[in-house]
Amino acid sequence: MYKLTHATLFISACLLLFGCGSKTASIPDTHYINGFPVTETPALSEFLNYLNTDYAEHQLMQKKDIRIFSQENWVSDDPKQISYYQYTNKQLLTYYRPIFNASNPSIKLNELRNNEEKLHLNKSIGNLDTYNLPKIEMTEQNQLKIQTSKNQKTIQLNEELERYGVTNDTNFHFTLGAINENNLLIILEDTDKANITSEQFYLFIDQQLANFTITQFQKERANEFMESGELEPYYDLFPKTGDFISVFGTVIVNTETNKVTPLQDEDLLSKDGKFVYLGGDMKEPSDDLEDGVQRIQTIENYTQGNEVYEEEFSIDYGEISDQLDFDTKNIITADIVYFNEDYVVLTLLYAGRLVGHGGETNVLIDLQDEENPQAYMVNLGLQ
Amino acid sequence: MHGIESNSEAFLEGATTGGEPGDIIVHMHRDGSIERFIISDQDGVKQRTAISKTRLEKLISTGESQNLQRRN
Repeated sequence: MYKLTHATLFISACLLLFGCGSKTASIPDTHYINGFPVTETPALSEFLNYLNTDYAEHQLMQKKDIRIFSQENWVSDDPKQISYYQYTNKQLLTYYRPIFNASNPSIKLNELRNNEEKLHLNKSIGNLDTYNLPKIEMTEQNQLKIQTSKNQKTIQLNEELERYGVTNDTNFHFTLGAINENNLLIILEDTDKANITSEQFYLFIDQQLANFTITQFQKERANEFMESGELEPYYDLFPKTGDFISVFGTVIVNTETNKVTPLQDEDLLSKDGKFVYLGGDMKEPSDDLEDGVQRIQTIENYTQGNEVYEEEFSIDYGEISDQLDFDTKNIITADIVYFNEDYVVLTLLYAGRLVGHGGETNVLIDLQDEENPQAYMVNLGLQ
Repeated sequence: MHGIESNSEAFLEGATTGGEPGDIIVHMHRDGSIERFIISDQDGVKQRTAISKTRLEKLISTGESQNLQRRN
């Protein structure tokens, strides 16, 4: 009995030791590199596309190498209707190539993002049938005319939205938010309540223009609303992994049961709506991203509350400070400025020796090779 | 319109949380680069979205910022 107890204790201790060891060993070392990435990769293209996409623009789809965008009506040459434009990944990378070997990447990026030359990158789409895009136009008395290659329909917004206080005096900004072969999502906002997502109107309509739903969406009422099944016909418009979709960046919905799981305040949804960075959302100015092990899950695994991680990697603020020869290793600000599949961009600000700042940088973390995370330390001026 | 000269690391965060939806933040760096943002309210949380110089000029020229001016 005595020997058995000792043997059990010995085996348990070994399991603990090796168990802990294997968990730590499973997190690959992050390779820190000074400067902007030298190679163009799909995840880097996606990041540059994010930087290039301006306010009031939405990417609708990507057909092979071509990205297709909508622009809100007020940006269009004819402010009564939505306009569309396109560019290729190759054109995007050519435009931003000067950053790759710039002596000051921050200033070069700022120039490129604000230069009127950027407008030449966007090629207007005149023939909407090329990509089966709808013509969407506001006419007198808030009548919204939608025309697809299959049908056309006019929706009287003053009547449909009367319960929200919409009248003939209401002015709308509107755009196409999403499209696929089955459905469309048109987003409208009363210009007196602009930039408040809970006040936006979401118009879901099928491609035949036979049925539509127009609604607002509030996180606190999401449970009741999604369980009503009103949006079920339009689930294919939302980002999806497995049976789960993310809805307007706030909740995750099980498409089989309509059960809603809210995104926790401290967790950050990826730009494509398919991944969650655990502990990645800094809601308060005083909040900072902690270094050490970082974990990312799909919305499916996040909702199920399991421990299956899409990415596990580590960040070491001390090592970054050492490599960049900053004054101290003390972090003042650490935040995520971009998070998407296989790519995370941080902004880091370090304290000075006595007062002030001791150095700042962005860190572009490339997770495309999950066994070999690469962290590019370059100040792009992104905060 | 407000002008703030600040070395504070929390300038952008403070300007975002203290602003109103539709307000514009112009952030001038010491290296000469300028970032512009527009504030939105996303389910009760203030967020900032980058806006280019040309798009901001369009916003102002089309009178779309009148609501912002009224609120201020």
